[in-house]
Parts: sequence; C-alpha cells; structure tokens
Amino acid sequence: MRLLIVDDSNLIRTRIARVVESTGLEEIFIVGLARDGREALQIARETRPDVVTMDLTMPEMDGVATIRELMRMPHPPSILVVSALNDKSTAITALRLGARGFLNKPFTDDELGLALLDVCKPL
Amino acid sequence: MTVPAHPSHVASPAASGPAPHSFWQRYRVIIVAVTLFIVIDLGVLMLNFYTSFKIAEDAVSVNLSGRQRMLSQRMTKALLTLELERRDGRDTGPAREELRSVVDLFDRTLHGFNTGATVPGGDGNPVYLTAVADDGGRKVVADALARWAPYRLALAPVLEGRASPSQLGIAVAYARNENLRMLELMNDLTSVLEVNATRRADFLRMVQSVGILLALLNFIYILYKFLSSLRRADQATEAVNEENREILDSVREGLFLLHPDFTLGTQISRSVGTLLGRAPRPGDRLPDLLGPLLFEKDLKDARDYMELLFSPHVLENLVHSINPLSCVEVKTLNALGKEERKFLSFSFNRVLDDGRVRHLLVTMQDITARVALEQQIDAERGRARQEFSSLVQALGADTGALRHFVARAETQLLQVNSLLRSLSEQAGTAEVRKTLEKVFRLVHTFKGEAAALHLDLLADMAHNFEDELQQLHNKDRLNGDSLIQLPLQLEGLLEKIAVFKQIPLNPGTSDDPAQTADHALARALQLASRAAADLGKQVHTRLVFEDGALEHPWAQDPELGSLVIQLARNAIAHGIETPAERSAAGKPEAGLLTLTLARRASGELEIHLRDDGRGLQPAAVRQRLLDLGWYPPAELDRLSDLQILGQITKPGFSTAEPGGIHAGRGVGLDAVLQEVVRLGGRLWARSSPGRGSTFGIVLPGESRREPARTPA
Repeated sequence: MRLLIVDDSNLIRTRIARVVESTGLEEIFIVGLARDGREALQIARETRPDVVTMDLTMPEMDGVATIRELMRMPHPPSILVVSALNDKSTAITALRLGARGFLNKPFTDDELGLALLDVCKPL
Repeated sequence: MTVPAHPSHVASPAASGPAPHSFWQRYRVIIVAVTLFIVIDLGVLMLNFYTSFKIAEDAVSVNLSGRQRMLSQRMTKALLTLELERRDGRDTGPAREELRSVVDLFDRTLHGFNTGATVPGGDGNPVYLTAVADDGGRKVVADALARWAPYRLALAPVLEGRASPSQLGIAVAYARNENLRMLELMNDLTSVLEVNATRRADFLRMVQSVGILLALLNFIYILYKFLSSLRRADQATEAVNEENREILDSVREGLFLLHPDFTLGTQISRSVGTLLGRAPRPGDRLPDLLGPLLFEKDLKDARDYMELLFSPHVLENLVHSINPLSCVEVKTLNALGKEERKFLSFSFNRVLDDGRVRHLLVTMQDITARVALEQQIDAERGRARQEFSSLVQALGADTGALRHFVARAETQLLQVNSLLRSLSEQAGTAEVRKTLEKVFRLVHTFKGEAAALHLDLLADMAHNFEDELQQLHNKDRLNGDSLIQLPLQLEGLLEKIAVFKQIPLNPGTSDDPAQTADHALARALQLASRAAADLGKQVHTRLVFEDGALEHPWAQDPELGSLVIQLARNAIAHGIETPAERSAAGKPEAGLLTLTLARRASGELEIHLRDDGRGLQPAAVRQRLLDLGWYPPAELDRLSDLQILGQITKPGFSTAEPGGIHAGRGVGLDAVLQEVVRLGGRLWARSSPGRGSTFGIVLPGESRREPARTPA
C-alpha cells in the first residue's frame, strides 16, 4: 500500500510517518509527504498512492478541495481525514466527497494505526 | 442479518450458531404421514389395477363360456344340415366347413378353460383365456371334457369327409344326446364364472373403500399435525413478538431501524416517544421528527451523516466521532405539560445484510445527567484552578497583609453569623432590613479587602453573597425566615478562610512598629490601586507621614489599613476618571492618590486621602438621590449642595453602576463611616469639582478598640 501523508504541520507528518514505520503496518510504505493540497495533488499524480491521510485546514488548498481533485483521478486513493474536530460539517463534506474515514486530532499511535489498516481494506 | 459491533464486526449468534432443529427432526411426523399416504395410495392403485385386470379376464371367460353354448347349438345344426344335404344328394361342403370351424373353436375354447390358451375372441381377435381355477368350475370343465372326448371322436370322420352314413348317424346321435347336456354344462360354467367375477368386483370395492378410508384417516392425521405445528409456530412467533414488545416497551433507550429513505421501521421502542416528546409512527421520516428540535444546519448535517452511513465507501467505525447528533440539546414537553430541556444522543449502527447496508439501527439516549455531570466537573475544575491560583497568589502576597486579612475576615464573617443568629423569627421587615444592611457592610468590606489582595475567588463569592443580600433587601416584606439561605453562603466563605488559615504565614520580618505601619499602609494603597487596572484606570500613589505620625498608636493598627483600602477603592471607583477623560480635562492620564498621616496637637491622628479626580458632583448626587427615590423632587430642590453631598455616606448610596466588583453597592463610604464611628473617630470630606476630593478621618489619641475585634 502506497501512502501519501498530507498535513501542514511538520509535527503531524513526522508523527504519522513514525507510526507507519512501526510494527504492524509493514504493508504500508510512504511515497510522499505534502504540506498542502497543491503539493499533495502534484505528488499524487507522480506516485499514484493507494492511501492518503488528509488534513482539512491547510494553506494554499484545503483538504476538501484536495479530496475533490483526488477523487477525479483515474484510480482514486482511499482517503483518511486526519483533522481536529471543530467543524463537523466540513468533515461530513469531506466524507461525502469520497473520503472513507475520519480520525480526530489528537490521536494515539494505536488509533492511527488501526484507522490506517481499516482504510487500506478494499471497498 | 448482522449488526456489526463497534469496532470489530461480529456476526449475530442467530447467523453463526447451529440451527436448533434439523429439517428431519422438525418435519418428521409430516414426512412419515405423507409417505404413508403415498404408500396407501400406491397399494390401493396396484390392487385396483390387478383386480380390474382379473375382472377383465373373468369377463372374457364369461363371454367365451356363453359362446360355447352357442357353438354347441351351431355344431348340432351343422351336423343336421350336413345329414340333410347328403340325403338330398346336394353338396355337403359348406355344411362340413361350418362344422369344422365350430368344432375347432369349441374344442380350443374348452381346452382353454382347462389349461389356459389364446383363442379367437368374440370379435375374431385372439384373446387369452385363463384356465378355470375355481373348484366348482374345474369340475364342470372336467365333466364337459369327458363328455366332449367321445363326441369329438365321433365327429372326426365327418369332419374328414369320409364318414359312412352309419358314422354320420352316430355323430348326429351324439349331437342329439349331448347338445342339451353341453348346453347345461356351459351354462353351469358361465354361472360359476359370473359368481367369481362378482366376488372379485366386491373385493375391488372393498379394497377401494378401505383405501379411501385409510387415505382419509391419513389426511386427517396430516391435517391435524400440520395445524398443530402451525399453531405451535404461531405461538412461538407470538411469544417472540410479545418479548419484542416487552423489550421495546421497557428499554430506556430509544430504538428503531431506519430505512435508506430515512423512514422509521415498524419496531419502535416506547422511549422514543418519551425522548422526542411525541410518539412517532412507523414510516415517519426521521428528519421530519428532528426538524422542530434542531437548527437547520444541524439537521442538514444529520441528514448528510446518515447518508454517509448508507454509502458503502465510508468506514463505519471511522466516522462515529463526526456524528452531529452525538449530543443534541432539545426542548420537549414533559408529562406535566411543562417545557423541559434535555440533552439527547443519537447513535447510528449499520445493519448489514449480505454485505449491504440495509438499515441503520438508531439508539437514542437521554444524556442530560451525563452532560450536567460533565458541566459540573468542568465548573469544579475551573473552581479548583481558581482556588489554586488564589492560594498561589496568597503565598506570593504580602504575608503580613494576608495574615491581617485572614484574621479580620474571620472576625467579620463570625460577626455576620452572630447578626444572622440574633435575628428572631418574629423580626419585622424594618429590623431584618437593618440587619441586612449591617451584614452587607461587613461582606462588602470583606470583598474589598479580598479584591485588594487579588483573592478573586473570595471576592467573587462575597460578590455573590452581596447579590443575594441585595435581592432580599429589595423585597417588600421580610421576616427572620427570609434569611434562611444566607448561612450557606457564609459557610462557603468560612470554609475558604479556613483553608487560608492553614497556610503558614510568617508574622513579618520587621519588628520595628514604625516600619510595619509604613509598610502596611503603603501596601494597603498599592492593593487598593490594583482595582484601577480592572476599571481601565491608571493610578499613582503617594504616602506622606508628617512628624510624629508614624509613632502614633493608630498608625500601626491593621484596622487603619482596612479603612485606607476602602477609601482608596472609593476614590478610584468614583473619583479618578478614565485616562481618556483625564486627557480631555488636561490632566495626566494617571491619577494621583495621596495618603497623608498627621499627628494633631490634640494627640488625634488625622488621615486624609486626596485624589485629583472629578470631585464630588452635587448634580450627579442629586440625580442619584432622585433615582433612588429617597426624597420627593421638590424637597431635593430645597437642599443645598452641601446637604446633598452629605447624603453620600448613607447606606445604599452609590453613583457607580451597580454590580461591579469594585464599587456600586452603595455601601463603600457608609462602611467607612460606620467603622470610623465605631473606632470613636469622625469622617470629613472636601471636594472641588473637576479637581478632586479629599476624605479625612480623625481618630482619637489612643488606639481604642473593642476587645472582641482584636485580631489574632
């Protein structure tokens, strides 16, 4: 499973990467880290990830717009929204556009790991 | 159907457990009965078939034995015709031919009766003639054969066409003799065969009747079994339904299934009605039910969220956290018809069938108690935090001032307590109101000092206490019972003071009384001026000791600090203007408070606090007095400005907006005056509009305090 991590926070990006590289998630490997939606789309077109973790509030291009674009790709990836829950409506919109799950920030390593495993399951 | 449990998907026991009865066990009786029915039917059918076949054979025999009689006649007739033809010299050929065919048929048929043979039937087609089995019949056949053998022998030369006239005569004689006998025998045979056939037909009837009877019995048995098992199944279904009903009627949660078009299923627990305030019916749409309870945006979110759960791409256990209905505040009417605020939680679980989301199981809960508890915990946490910061501030504060505060506070509160206790239940409105005013002054002083020390928690509590006192004071009628709630507030304050008492407070490092006084008053000014920041004002303070004032016994008295705090707070709240106002008036932005202590020649101590604020404004006081309604307008007009200003120390007077923590209760100057009078001193004031006011206190030569008020 090819994973793209999208978050404007360096801390969160490295945190997710660290969890992915820990035990139990050997089948997932990271193909890219993006700071915002624009960068995410560029990397996604080059690397064609299977799974994307997506922040919702980012500069340049926010999560909802990015998800809309990603879902237009020929083989859209499985998207896990990882965001702080201050607006349920935005989260619901993201899922309506095609994201498969929502993980609330802050999260524990295990919560993230289990959510990633779930999102990696085929439809 | 399976309801996936969160977080792992677990199939329900009904789907995975072994079936309680196998097919055979469940339907054994009916299978046996039906098999028996088929066997009986088949048996009857076979017997029927066999018997009717036999009856057909019997019919052939009866028919052929009848034909024997006819053949015997024809045989005799042919012989006589032959004899006649011969005598007349005519051709005997046709007659002989007739005789031959008749004899042959008769012979073959008769032997057929004996041994069984295929013979030409009535229509010329060959039929099988069975041998006669019946004893009576066999005897007749044997008799007929015995008689036929010589007869046949006599006929042989005739048939061969070489018979002499005598041989023909013998044959004719036989025919004459035997014809009747043969007819009788064949008649007997026919009778025997007919009896046999009748018996067989009877048997067939019996078989058919018994078969039908058995089939009927079997059918009744099957019907009985079927109906009773149907009844059992119905009873079991009814029991299940009854249990379902009981569960749905008594479960505290609201439970129902939701279809993809958001309509409710048929099974709805009773609590749904209680929770929603009206009982929904199967087929009602959930958004319609929630519409009156939610904001439009929340309703849209809820609809979108439910849609998400029906969408296969969404992972159920990764969306619970965005459920917009996890905590919904609703207003419903309770059984008494009163409006009730409740917090409801709706949770949605997918109900899968063959991997597809068929329904959502909706669980509604009343989480009001939980929300209240959470709010309480939050409030508790906030209070604890505030208390902690109070303690931290207290520890950081001047220990001397704190020590004095704690001691004075306890005294003040105990005084409040005794005031409340001393009030008899029969006390009238006026007496209660007077007590309230006294309590108010004490609490207000306490609040001022607490606020000055930045003990915000205590100041807040005192402020709430004041609110309650104020509300009571505003009532038209009061008696001793009216104050029943007050000891609770008091207890709360005393508890907090008890906590402060446990903090080890060093009794100050300086032993020099003069320094202590200097320090204490400077501190009092500084503490009071903290209030300025809260009011958006700026203040500088100055402390002046004139000769000998520092050594005056009053100078070291902690009561003095308390008075100074009250005066300074009063000056800041009412006298000093905001920086903007001051700038506009051409004054420096920061106000100046000057505290001067002077020893008079008489030995009295004079303390005056001067501010450079707006001064006392007779017009504002007049207006305030008008608002308070203390005097009729006409009377107010008659009072001089000086008389008007004299009103400011009256209980309940304040020109500041009420409710602020620093002022506005109308007891500030009142409290100071009461205290000064108690200490045996007097209070004076001087004011110049726009330039400031000075409040002076003159205390007698000796520090005369009541023993009970001596701080520890």
